[in-house]
Amino acid sequence: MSNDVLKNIWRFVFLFLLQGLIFKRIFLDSSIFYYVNFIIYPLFILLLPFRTPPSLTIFLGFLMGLFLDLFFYDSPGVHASACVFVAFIRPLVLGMYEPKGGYNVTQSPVKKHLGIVWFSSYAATLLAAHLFFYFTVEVFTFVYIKEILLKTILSFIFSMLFILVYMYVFDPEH
Amino acid sequence: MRNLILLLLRYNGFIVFLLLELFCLFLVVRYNRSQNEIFVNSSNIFSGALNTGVSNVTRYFNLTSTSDSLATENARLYSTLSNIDTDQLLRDSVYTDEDTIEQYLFIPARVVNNSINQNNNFLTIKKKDISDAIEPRQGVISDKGVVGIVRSVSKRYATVMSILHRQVRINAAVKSSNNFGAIAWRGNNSTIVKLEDIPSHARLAIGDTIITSGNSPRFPKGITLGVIDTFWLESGSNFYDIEVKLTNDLNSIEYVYVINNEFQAEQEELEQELINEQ
Repeated sequence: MSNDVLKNIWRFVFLFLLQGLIFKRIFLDSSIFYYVNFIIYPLFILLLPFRTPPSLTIFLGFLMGLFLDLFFYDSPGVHASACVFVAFIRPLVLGMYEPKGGYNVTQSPVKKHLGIVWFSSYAATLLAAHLFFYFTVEVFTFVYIKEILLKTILSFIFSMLFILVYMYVFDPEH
Repeated sequence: MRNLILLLLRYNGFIVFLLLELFCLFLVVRYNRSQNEIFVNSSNIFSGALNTGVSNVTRYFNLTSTSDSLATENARLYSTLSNIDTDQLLRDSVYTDEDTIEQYLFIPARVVNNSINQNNNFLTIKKKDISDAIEPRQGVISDKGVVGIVRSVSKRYATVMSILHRQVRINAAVKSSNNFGAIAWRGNNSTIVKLEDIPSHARLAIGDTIITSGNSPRFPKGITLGVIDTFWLESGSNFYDIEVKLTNDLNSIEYVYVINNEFQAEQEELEQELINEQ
C-alpha cells in the first residue's frame, strides 16, 4: 500500500470525526448567522489524487456522506447525495481549471503543486456546488430557494475559511 | 461481466454516479415520508459512546451555569414544598385509590448530543441507569420547560424529537384563561414556536404564559413552555396566529427529565379506539 493511499485513508477518518464530533456542534445562534453550517468534509474528495478513477472517487464520496448521515446527522442520504454529486463533477471542474501544461497525473490537486490561486478557485467551485446541492436536498423543494441560497452563501464563507486554514497548516503533498 | 465493467469505465463514472445518487435520493425520500424507526440512528452504541466522550469534556465548561440552574430549581421546589399546607390537605380531601398511586415519575438523564439548526432537530440522551423505564412517546422536560418527545430507546441511550422538530405537536394552554391549542415549530428560529388553534374569542395579552394543557398523557398540566411574543388575527379567520417565545434555551440543555406517566398507555389506548371508530 503506497504512501498516498494511506494518507488519504487517514484524511478520510480525520475529516469524518472532525465534522461529526466538532463542526456539527458549532452554530452561531444570532440573527442571520443562524444559517451558518460548517461543512468541511468535502475536502476529502477535493484532495484525492488525480489518478483516482472517477468511479472510485464517487464511491469514496458516497461512503463519507453515508457514514456522516448514519452516525452523526440522522439524515440518511442527504450528505451522501451531495458527496456523490461533487465527486461526479470533480473531473469536469478539474478540466475547467486545467493549466496550460496539463496536470502531472502522479500528483494530487493541492496548493503545494499548483498554487493558492488555482487551489482556491478549484475548491470554491466544488464547495459551492456541494453546499447548494446539500441544502436543496435537505428541504427537498425549491420553494425555499431564498433560504437555500442564504444558507449556501453564509456556510460557504465559513467553510471555505476553514479549508484554506487547513491547506496552510498541513500543506499536504498527497 | 467484462462488457459491464467496460461500460462502467467508458462512461467515466456516470453510471456509478447515477446508481448511487438514485440510492441516496431513495433514502432521503423514504426517511422524509415515514416517522418510523430508522434502521441506524444516533442512539446506536458506536456514535453514542463517541458523543458521550465529547460531551464529557465539554460539560466541564458549563459546570457553573449547570449548578446555578440546579440550585434555582431546588429553591423553587423547596418553596413549593413549604407552601403546601398539610393540615389543609388532610382536612379537605377524601382519599381514593388514585392518591396512593404515583402517577408521574421523573427520570433524570444527561444530554450527549443536541442540535438546533437542522431542518428537524433531535437530541440523544444517556440514561443514568440501564434499568430506567424510558419508552418511546414519553415527554421530556428540563428545569426551564418542555424539551421534546422520546422517539426511540436503546440499552443506554434514547433519541428525543426536540420541540424544534416539524412533526412534534404539544398540547398547550394559556395559563391565565385555560384556552387550549397546540404548539408546533415552523423552522428558521430556535427560540420561536407557533401556538395554533386558539379561537378568536379568547382574551390574550403579550407576555401571557403558555403551559402544557395536560390533555395529552405525555406531559402533566402546568409545565412552562414560553410566553406570548406577538399575536394577530388574520381577517376572516376564527383562530389567532400566535408566536410564542420559548423559555427554554434549547442550545444549552445539559440535564433533562423524562416523564414516565403510569397511565399513559391506558389513556392512549382508549383514545385510539375513538380514532379507529371515526
